[in-house]
This record gives sequence, structure tokens and C-alpha cells, in this order.
Amino acid sequence: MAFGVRLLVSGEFACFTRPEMKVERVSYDVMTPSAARGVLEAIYWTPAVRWQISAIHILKPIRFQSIRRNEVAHKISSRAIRHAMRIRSIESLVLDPSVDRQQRASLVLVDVSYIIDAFITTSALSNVEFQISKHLAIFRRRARKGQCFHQPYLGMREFPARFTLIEKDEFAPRSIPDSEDLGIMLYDVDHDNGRQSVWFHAKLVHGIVHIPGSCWP
Amino acid sequence: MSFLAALVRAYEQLGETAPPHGYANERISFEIVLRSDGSPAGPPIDRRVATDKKIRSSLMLVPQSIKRTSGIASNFLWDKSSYALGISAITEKRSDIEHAAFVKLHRSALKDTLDEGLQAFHNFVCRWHVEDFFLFGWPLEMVDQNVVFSWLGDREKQICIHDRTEAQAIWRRLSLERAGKRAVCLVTGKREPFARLHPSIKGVQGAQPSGASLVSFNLDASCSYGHEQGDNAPISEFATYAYAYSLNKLLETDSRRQIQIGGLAILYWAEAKNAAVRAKSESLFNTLVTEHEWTSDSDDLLKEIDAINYQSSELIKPEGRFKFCIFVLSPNSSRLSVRFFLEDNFETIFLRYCRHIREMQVGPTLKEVVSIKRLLVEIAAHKDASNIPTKLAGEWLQSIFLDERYPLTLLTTIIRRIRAEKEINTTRIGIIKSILIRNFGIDLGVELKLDIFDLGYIFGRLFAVYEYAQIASSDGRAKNTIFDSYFAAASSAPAKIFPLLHQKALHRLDKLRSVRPSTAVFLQSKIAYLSNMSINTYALPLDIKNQALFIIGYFYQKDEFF
Repeated sequence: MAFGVRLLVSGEFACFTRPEMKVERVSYDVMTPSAARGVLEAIYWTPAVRWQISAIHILKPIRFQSIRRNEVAHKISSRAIRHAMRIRSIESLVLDPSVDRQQRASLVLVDVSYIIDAFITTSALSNVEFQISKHLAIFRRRARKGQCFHQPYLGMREFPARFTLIEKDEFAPRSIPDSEDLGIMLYDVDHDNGRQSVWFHAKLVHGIVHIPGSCWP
Repeated sequence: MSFLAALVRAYEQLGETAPPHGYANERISFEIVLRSDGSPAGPPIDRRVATDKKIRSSLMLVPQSIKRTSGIASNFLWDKSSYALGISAITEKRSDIEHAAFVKLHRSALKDTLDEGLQAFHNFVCRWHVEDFFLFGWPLEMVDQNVVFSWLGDREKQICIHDRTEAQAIWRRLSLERAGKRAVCLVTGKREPFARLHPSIKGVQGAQPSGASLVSFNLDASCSYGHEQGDNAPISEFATYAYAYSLNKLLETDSRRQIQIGGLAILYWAEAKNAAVRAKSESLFNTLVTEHEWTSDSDDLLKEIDAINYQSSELIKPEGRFKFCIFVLSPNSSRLSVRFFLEDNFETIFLRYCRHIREMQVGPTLKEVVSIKRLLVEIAAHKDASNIPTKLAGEWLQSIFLDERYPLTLLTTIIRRIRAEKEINTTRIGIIKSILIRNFGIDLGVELKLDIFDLGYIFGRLFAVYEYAQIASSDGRAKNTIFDSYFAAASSAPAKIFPLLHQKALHRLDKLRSVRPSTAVFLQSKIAYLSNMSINTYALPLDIKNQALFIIGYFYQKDEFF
């Protein structure tokens, strides 16, 4: 596809947390478009670039496992950080996990492998002359070399993702044959409009989830 | 795997039997009758019922309770005595604040009402003082119980004030006002007012008694992008109410669609339009999961399994395909965590369980089906259900119903139980067998196999022969055989023990030769045969697979003798 990329992503664990199960985490069955966008942006992003996911291929059977971990209950508030910036001292910014400890269970995905089909559209900040094909070329070069701004991850940072570019003419691995109605899934978070969540009805058809072009209300 | 959507569908399936949106069943103890001027007309009516020597409050349909954890929020036209009357046995002073909230809510909601019953109630909240409770001499049992109210004029109709049409209309209006902002619900997909706080789920053992939350955002760390509470994940009021109702209904002790064991709450229900099919499949599953003793239900289960195996059961007809859900939860103080959720064709799930049963089969014919409850009890210390390791139980169930490999920890746990309690029964053998068949791919039949040459198996058989020699040479009088003394050591590191056992066996055979020479010869040849197969290999400790095979070999060889 001249205007799209295919990236093979895999990992030992993944957790695409359902927004309603934030505390005792439960993962979605498949990768969410926002997580896929996160992986792509970790490899290449500039303000002019807006990644659009068109499809996610699931290459391995969907398997869950429950793990129990110690997590923290609180966050360092943005007010505390602003205060620290003002007084130019980070002494008060403390979050001690040994005191704030909570045992929480998570239902995560095990042994995952996806192919992300995506393309780039330019955002309002774009320089018209800098064509989309140039962005894609940069992405492909970086993906081939394994370059990224930060380690791409599968839903949560403790689950790193391995990535490989699938070249234009290369034969992509087969997806699983299953078809299932996955219900309503998170499409993304609308950062421009009060950070509301946007949803779409996800259907797994022969192992591929097709993401609608636009779900913004 | 959207369990919230499945629970909402379960609620919709109930149709008319489910209470209308906005109302719920609560346990009410007393009913206070009011005159039109707001004064009570006589002593309160005791609404409790006596069941099995215990007096329990009865369930009544009232406006849905408002969720309160540490805040003050009053219910509409009913509440516990600290809100409704301002009296409480607990000595903290909050009952006056609570009663003030109760009064405030009703004064503002009912101030312009023309309905006589509601006017009576309005007068009541304006006139009531806490001391009146003692003045009227009302029973002390009322304190800290839930109370409802009714109007004297309604006595023939036997309804409460909240049942009156006008009251229902006001409650609808209040609910809408309380309703939050509108957003697209992530369960139904419709743009509706969404719930800010989610209702409590009661009935999970091990969670806090006031109820636990399945969906909650009470920790800072779980709020994203500056959202608070329900903003983080908008779920419509209807969906919230529906899933909470379904869950609470499933968790009722007599719902026959749940079992709570080993720190897990296992819920199951069918999604079928035909109520009879629903009932049958759920009761079948219930037998599968909970039966402890052999009952007529278990006979039915066996027949059903046979029918399904021969494709003749009506539950698995292709036209009548329906989905079955299994939802396993675990309490974590005030929250519920999901262990796993499965939603698949009933046929698929049941066939997976049948596969499990076949792998567990010990004898040539399937004589009984061991329920999940009994299976889990086998891995607990002293067969005490409170000792069941929760994580292992959850993983084991998951592997049975999702057709995955069994957790290997299960094998080590069973072997440890056998060694600690010195007890081998058919269930434990069945469990070990199923793991060896599924995880290791060993073809174990339902009787002694002479073509298995794995070391563990041979040693197990040899051990059984040595034991038989001991029993035979003492004319069956030996109470403690080598099984009791040496089993643990023999099954893990034969190197140290078997030479000793061999010597002992030879002595016993000498004794036996004078009494029963043919048996002695038979045993001697068997020992020689088995020892031959294991020669030169004494030195190694057995790995887990062979330790398991040891137990199986021992069991079947012994079975052959007796």
C-alpha cells in the first residue's frame, strides 16, 4: 500500500485496559486503535502527523491470564508538580510505594501478535509541502532500523512490544480464523474535545478487526 | 468478552419478572402508618417473617437505594431508622445530620404536592421529633432497621406511600434530575445520562458486607485525564442498573446459578430465548458444579452427558444453539476482580467439560461424574474448602472451560497432597491422569498398561509388587505397609529406597515360599521383570512427570492385584 504501513507487533503480555475496569484491570480481547496508535507514535511522530488505524490483524489465539501485582493508589497531583516547578525543588514530590501499596489483580493477554494496518493524515499544523509519502518513508526507515523515541508497549508500559516492518511486497503472516462480535470498544480519547472517550462497535472477522474511518461524534 | 453487555442481556431476558428501572428489592422490617396530619396511627406494623426459627425482614420493592459510602444521602420515602426517624443504636451523633438530610429531601420534593398520601408524609417529616419514638413507646427492635411508610387512607389497598402513582412520578423526576451528563454508553452505544457511581454488588463471600464494586474509580491512580468517578468510563444509568441487578440476582444464595468456593465466586447463566432450555441447561451446569453427594440429579447429569456424547441431546441441536456464560469473580476487600469470563455456545463448553471428564476417567466405565466442588476440595489441605488455593483453582477452571493446558502447579499440588495425607483416591488419580494426557501427551488408558516403559511408571508398579509381597507374606495382617513408610521417598528419589525395599521383599518372599509357593514364584518373576527394565537407572531422582507416572503405575498395578 503506497499510503499505508503494516507493522508486525508482538509481546509476551499485553493489557489493553477496559476503561470501566481500571482498578482490577481487565483487558480487551484485542488491541485497541489507541494502543496501536501509541505503538506507531513511539516509532515516529511529529506534530504534523496524525496516525489513522485502518485494521488490526490478530495472529495468535486470544488467551487470558490473571496476575496479581502490587500497585499504588495515589498519583502525584499536577498541582504539586506546578508548585515544585515554582519553588524549583522536587523534595516534596514523593510517592512511596511501600506505604501506598495495594494488591490488585489484572486479567491480561498472553503471547500476543498483531499486524497494524495504518496510514497517515496530516493535522492542522501541517506544512503542506511536506508530503505524506515523506512521513511514511521516514517511518519505514525507522521501523526497519528499530528506531523509536521510547519503547513501544502493548497497553501498559510494563509490557514492551517487539516490532518489525512488513515491506510492501512481503507476504504477511496469516490471521486466526475466528470471527466474533467483540461489542463496543474504545476507539480513542478525543483530546480536542474535553478528553471524552470515543467508541466503536468492534467485530472480529476472520481474525481481522476493521476500524471505521472516523468515529468522532 | 464484554461481561457487562452479557449481564445487561441477562437482565433483559428476564422480561417482566425484573423490577422496573429505578426500583429494587430491599429488606424492610417495619411499616409506619400515618394519618393525614402526619402523626403516626398506632404502633408500626412488623413486616418481618419468621423462617426456620430466624426472624428475617421481608423483601419489598422500594425506590432504588442511593449509594452511600461515607457521605450523607437520603433515600426517597424509605430508609433506615437513623435517616427516617433520627434514631440509631450507634452512639455517634450522625443520626441527627442524617435525619436532617431525610427531612430536607422530602420537604423540597413534596412541598407542592396535592396528593393526600404525600401530604401526610410531608406533614410527618415536618412534625417528627426523635423523642416521639420513646413517647409512643415504639419497639426497640426497630432501631437500625429499614422502615417504609403508608397512609391510613390506603389501608384497604395495602400499598405503601412510595407505591402511589404520584410518588412514582416524583421519583421518576428526581431520578432524571440526579442523572448525570449525557455521553455515549460503552455498553449500549446510545447517548444517555451516565452513572456517576456504580451500585454495590452484595453476596460475594469474602468481600466487605456492605457490598463491593465491580466498576469503581475510588482511587486517584485509576482516574485518567482529569476525569472523576463515572466520567472515566461512561455507562448509562440503565445499563448500570441492569448489570447490577443481574449480578445481585445471580449471587442470591438460592439462585442455583452460582457457587462460591475457594475464594472464587463462579456465576453461570444461559442466554436462550426459551425459558425451559435456560432452566435445563443452568440446572445441569449447577449439578456439574455443586453436587457433593450422589443424588438423582447426578444420574440425570450422567444421562445428559451420554446423550450429548451421542449427539442426541436436545440441548445441543444446531437449530437451538444458545450461548452460555461463565463469570468467575474474586473479592478484593471493597472491589471485585474478574478472574475470567467465558461466553460461548453451550455445546462447546459442555463438550470441553466432557473431554475433561474423559481424560479423568480411571476405570473402564464412567460410573460417576465428580463435581467441580469435589475436584477443588481435593487440592486443599485436609480436604477443607477454606484451604483451596484461589489462584490455582481459577486457573484450573479456566483451563477446563477454555480447553487449555492444565496449570502444572496442579500436578505438584496433588502430588504433595498425596504424600502429605498418604491417601490416593480415584479422583486424585483422575486429576493426575488428565494432566499427563493433556499436558504431556502420554496415552494412558483406563487400566494397567504393559507398554509404558517410562521409569516412573515401572518404579510405581514395582512398588506395588513389593507392597503386595509384604501383605501376602503377613497374611493380610500388616497394618502399615511400605506405602505408609516409604511412599514419599520412593516416588521422588527411588535411588535411596529401592535397594532397601528389594532386600525386604526378598526376605518376605522367602517367608512366603514355605506357605504359598506359587504366589512367591509369581511375585518373584514380576519383580525380576520390572527390575530389569529399570536397571542402571537407580541413581536419578525422578522429574515431575515420572513422579506422577509413579503414582499412576502404583495405582493400576495394585488394582490388578486386588
